[in-house]
Amino acid sequence: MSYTLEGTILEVCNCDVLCPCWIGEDPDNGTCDTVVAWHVDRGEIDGVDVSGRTLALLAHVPGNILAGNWKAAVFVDDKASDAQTQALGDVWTGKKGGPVADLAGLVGEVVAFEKAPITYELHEGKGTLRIGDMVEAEMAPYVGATGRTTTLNDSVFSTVPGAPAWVSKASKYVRKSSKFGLKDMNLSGKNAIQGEFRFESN
Amino acid sequence: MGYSLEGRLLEVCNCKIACPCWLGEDPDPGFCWSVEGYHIDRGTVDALDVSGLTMGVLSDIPGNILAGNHRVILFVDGKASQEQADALTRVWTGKLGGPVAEVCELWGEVVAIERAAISFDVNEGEGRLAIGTEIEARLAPYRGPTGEPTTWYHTPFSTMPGNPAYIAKASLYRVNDERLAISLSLEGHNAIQGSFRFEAN
Repeated sequence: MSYTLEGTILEVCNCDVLCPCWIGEDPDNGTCDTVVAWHVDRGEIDGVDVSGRTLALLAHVPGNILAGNWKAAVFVDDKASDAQTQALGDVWTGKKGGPVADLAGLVGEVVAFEKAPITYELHEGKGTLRIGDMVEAEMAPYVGATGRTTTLNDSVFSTVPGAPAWVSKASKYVRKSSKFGLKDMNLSGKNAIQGEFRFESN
Repeated sequence: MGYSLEGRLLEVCNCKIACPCWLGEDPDPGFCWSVEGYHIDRGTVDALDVSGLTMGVLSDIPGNILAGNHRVILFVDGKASQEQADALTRVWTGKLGGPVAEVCELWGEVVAIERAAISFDVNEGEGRLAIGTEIEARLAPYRGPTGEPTTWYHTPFSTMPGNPAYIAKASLYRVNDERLAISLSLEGHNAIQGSFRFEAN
């Protein structure tokens, strides 16, 4: 019943830049339609190596993100073996406890759990996320006067103390999800944030 | 001739939290009613020591902050001597060039320049700013799981590379100014504290 997972998280949504949810405030539109993806750079779950795998949620958040009741469709990247898929599913549905179970507690309804081709090509807030033919997001970070990437540090969502989150803008955020009862999105110039995560449970 | 000014900048406005202007985006309501305090921890203007003084700016910003045409009122710290007040006014009207003059270029109209009692008691996004009796803000920072204040680094508005901007929430933001037609009393809006270093020769 243990896991160690390390990697980066990408969150893109219909909030303006910067998404207030990252500091625990209500989403700009009152509700939030988001895609959240966790790319595991290094990790294992009860002895199953899940390095390189990505798990993504397409979610509707009805109010403050910490108030829960999210409605979510869950996707595991199709390069995952059956054992990896099972292991990731167990962690992200809260069966293995720990910090990811706290997160899973925010999801009130899982409308799908499927495999899909996932492209997660992101570095410091720049790049592309694709999930099957359902999601396509492209983003680039803000930069300061010296050319360094704008970061958010020590936010309420930081799981790695001291690690930055890269503050980006999505030039494209397409989500075709109405078949799951989740609104379609086709937006430009909205929020995207990439951060780091480290989840451990014994 | 020239200036070297280092200190803390506080910006409070009617945007929601994490004011988009810091990223160069449009303000949340489309326009911005903002107060800024520049507290000089250490500084000289034309060799005159101005350490410990604060300049206040009340702004009516009609759109994107970088598009200019701000209407502003400048408040010079009441604790300043006449000589110090004149020096700060030269800097904040752009007469000495440098980075502050670039800020002044965003201003379409300086409606008034006046002395005011200014209290700048803000550190790491926490504290209070008061300018006269009609401008007041109280704020506290957001914090992460370990209790550290939530910060931004390397925003387009950072004037000190590597220094944080503290992301705070104003429990109170109150302004009454007939000249700019600003009257507000808000709770739970944006406040951001950064730091500055302005140099001109």
